[in-house]
Amino acid sequence: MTLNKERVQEIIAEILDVEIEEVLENANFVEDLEADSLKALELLAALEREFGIRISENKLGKLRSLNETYDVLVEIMC
Amino acid sequence: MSFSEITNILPHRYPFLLIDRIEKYEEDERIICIKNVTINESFFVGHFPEKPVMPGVLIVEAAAQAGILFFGKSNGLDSENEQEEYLLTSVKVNFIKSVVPGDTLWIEIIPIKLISSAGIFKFTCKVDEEIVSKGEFVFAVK
Repeated sequence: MTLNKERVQEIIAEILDVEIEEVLENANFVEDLEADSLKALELLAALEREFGIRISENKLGKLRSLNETYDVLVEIMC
Repeated sequence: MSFSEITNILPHRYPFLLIDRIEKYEEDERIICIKNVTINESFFVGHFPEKPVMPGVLIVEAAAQAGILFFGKSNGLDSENEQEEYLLTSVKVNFIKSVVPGDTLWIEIIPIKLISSAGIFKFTCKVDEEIVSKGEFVFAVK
């Protein structure tokens, strides 16, 4: 599956159980979208499954917003 | 596998230790644990006096304990290590059939994603080969 920011946004909305429109590019998952910190692990697993990649554990702390998550994926996939 | 292996990993004790036996452990793949449910369980006193049913939240708790056992064994925590503190942070579950006194609950845990301090697991609980509940949970080690 090729990298696509809209799809990343959809996955984040699904995992965080919020509307897609709420997942703004720089909205912080914990502070703005009321996610708990372990949602990042669920997000990591969902992104791995969707894009067929491995995201190392040390990237977990970088999955804080749509933009930051996308940057991590770009680094791995592009 | 001996019972002490369970108590070496799980910090839980009576009346909240909800695993009686590790039936099978396959590294990286799965763990299958057993909980024998008897009429002497403390929760049956009130849930419910006329019709004893194992509370669904305790089925989830039993599954989470089986998950901790998997995590503990995967991380070599089954000796005399200091016990960790575990936090269940997210649960999705379907309850399909009641669990009653006399049932043996077979709990199968399959890891979906494991990191050093947390894990996502799928669980299926069966009685007499029939699925009574299934779901997914996330826990973290504090």
